Amino acid sequence: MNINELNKRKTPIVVIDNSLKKYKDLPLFQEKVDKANEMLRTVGLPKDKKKGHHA
Amino acid sequence: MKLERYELKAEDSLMVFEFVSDGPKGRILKLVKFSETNLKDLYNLAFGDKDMNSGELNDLSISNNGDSEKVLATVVSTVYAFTDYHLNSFVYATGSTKARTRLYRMGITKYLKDVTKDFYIYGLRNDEWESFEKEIEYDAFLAKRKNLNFTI
Repeated sequence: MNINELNKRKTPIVVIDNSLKKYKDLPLFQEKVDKANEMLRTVGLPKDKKKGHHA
Repeated sequence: MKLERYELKAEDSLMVFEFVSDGPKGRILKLVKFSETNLKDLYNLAFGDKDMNSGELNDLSISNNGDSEKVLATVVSTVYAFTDYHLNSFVYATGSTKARTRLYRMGITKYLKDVTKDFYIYGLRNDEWESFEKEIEYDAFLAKRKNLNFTI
């Protein structure tokens, strides 16, 4: 498969590299996560996902 | 959507991805992380530059590497990979700055027709989620992969 064919796939081919596991439990971008949690605490999830015009 | 993208690496739970932006400023390592939040199945998406020497991450850097569209397309492709693996998950994203949030909105707007074939897209406005519409400023975005099985 060449790069053009790869680019046509929506789901990418991902090379597994478990050296990246070290980042999984590190508090990376923690400020953003904290802000997201604060917002989600009051806003929650969309009330009705099926209402959207994209549904 | 047939945008150019960078090759991706990830650890086997597909929560941390890495790719290399290659442009006039050189090779810049990018890290994408999907973090758990306090809401079950809702993950925060964040990405930034990784300093090749110190390993430190910066989500405020402006690389100006002439490939912002390719970088965003690559980040979007991580959302496809993530939601393929983490079924029924929601992905929350907002920019590190208002300008960056606006950039994301423009990116979603540009490819809305394609993106909404596969995702429900919501925008946060006045502390409420609404279906994403063009020309509206949002504070954050939420994506949910469309599939046959999901119910609230």
